[in-house]
Amino acid sequence: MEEAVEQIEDSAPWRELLARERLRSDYLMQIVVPIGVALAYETNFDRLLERMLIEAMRLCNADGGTLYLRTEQDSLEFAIMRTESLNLALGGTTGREIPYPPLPLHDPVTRRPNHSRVAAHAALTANAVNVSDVYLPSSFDFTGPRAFDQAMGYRTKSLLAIPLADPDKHVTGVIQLVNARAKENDALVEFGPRIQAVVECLCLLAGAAMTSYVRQQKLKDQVHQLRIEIDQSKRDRQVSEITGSDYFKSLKDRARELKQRAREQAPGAI
Amino acid sequence: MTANIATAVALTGRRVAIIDTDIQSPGIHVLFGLEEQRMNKALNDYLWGNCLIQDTAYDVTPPEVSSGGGQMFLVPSSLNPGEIARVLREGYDVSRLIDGIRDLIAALSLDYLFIDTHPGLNEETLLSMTISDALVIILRPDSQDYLGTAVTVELARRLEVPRMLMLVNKVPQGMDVEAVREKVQNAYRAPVAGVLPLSNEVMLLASSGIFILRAPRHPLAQQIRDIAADVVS
Repeated sequence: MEEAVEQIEDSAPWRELLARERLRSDYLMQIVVPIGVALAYETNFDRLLERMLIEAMRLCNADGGTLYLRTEQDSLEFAIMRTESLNLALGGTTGREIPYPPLPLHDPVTRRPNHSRVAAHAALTANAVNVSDVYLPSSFDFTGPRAFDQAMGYRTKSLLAIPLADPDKHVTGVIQLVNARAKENDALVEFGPRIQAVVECLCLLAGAAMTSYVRQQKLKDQVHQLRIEIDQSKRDRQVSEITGSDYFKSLKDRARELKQRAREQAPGAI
Repeated sequence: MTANIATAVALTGRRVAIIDTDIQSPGIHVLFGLEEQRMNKALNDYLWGNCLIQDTAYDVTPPEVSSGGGQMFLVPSSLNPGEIARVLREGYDVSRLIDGIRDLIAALSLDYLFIDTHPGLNEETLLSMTISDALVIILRPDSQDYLGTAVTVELARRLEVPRMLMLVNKVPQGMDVEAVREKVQNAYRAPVAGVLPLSNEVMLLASSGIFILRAPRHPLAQQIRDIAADVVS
């Protein structure tokens, strides 16, 4: 038995698997985790969202990406858009509005969940969606990317949508990456399973950073709304009831003489 | 909070006592591990004239305090329901409490005496306020506390308490501390000695000990030490 195990561990496929896992774990520790930590310290919400998308794009050498935020109106709002090869940057700190309406998560009339759009499907199922080519037949509706391609002279090919969730697994947004590129020559490639796993890790950390930021802002807003409202007439009435009592009047006089005596004889009381 | 602030002062090598004047619902003895079986005499016994005030003082000095040259005493109130009911029904001679506090300071050569009062206003609270050199009013950022605190602050001014400090406790994590301080300061026109966060660690301790001794390096412990330094300055 031991001999058999030794033979497996000495084999080339095993060594290759170990090397790949080691590389992946190094990648996570040295690249993904520091990014996650940096996101947690970001104090500006727009910059936080931008960094989330840009770091995700950088991890898989994606040409473009969109970050959606889930709204209270049950939709995904376009928050950040980037396409490097088109020099396109919308939303966030750019101050440039994104001209697309939010994606509804449910049909406004039938209330059926909107699984036809990739980002909406990712938000509804809390699962990643990996598409090798948006122009191949699919159950998804890619009219959006195709209309973008026509308008911008672009060619969307591969697409990866990953949900952003809070610690309670409630989806708060989606990062959708477009056109992974090979590192050696920038040729368009698919989003491989290993890089998908790495980006999913990043999105876990990013989702946590976003939740923490929103929570902090809500608390800060509470302080701004923290109004110490004191009914002055009630206060005055309660004070009068006490100060008008014989007990209070006698207390004041006696306390004065006792304090004087105490100071002469011993250290003070708190 | 009184126990923690008093302990912080005792850690600087001072002789400190705490008197639990919350006769209706005594509790501070729990933090010092003073068991009921050990409490032969309590504040109630003194008030009925059954003993001297120093007979009701128990040495509760923690090792960390004694190693710094300090000492701590506690005068507990009785846990006996009959005794509690008797005080509430019959009252007691207020002069006796005032005299007792003075005698306790002398008998134990105290540097500081902390008077722990019942939450809210009653005769013992008013009495404690009038004979004190400094008053620390503890409130939560909760609308239930705002009016009562305003009344207490106004009464303290009428009683000419030499020094009054506000202490905001159990502030939700993440709240802007300086903004809370400013709002409280403006609302009550009194200095704020500290703004303390709601702490899971304190909740987990569940009054089984003195927090600043159990977790001396916790940021909250440092805040309490800073408040204590301000109170006795």
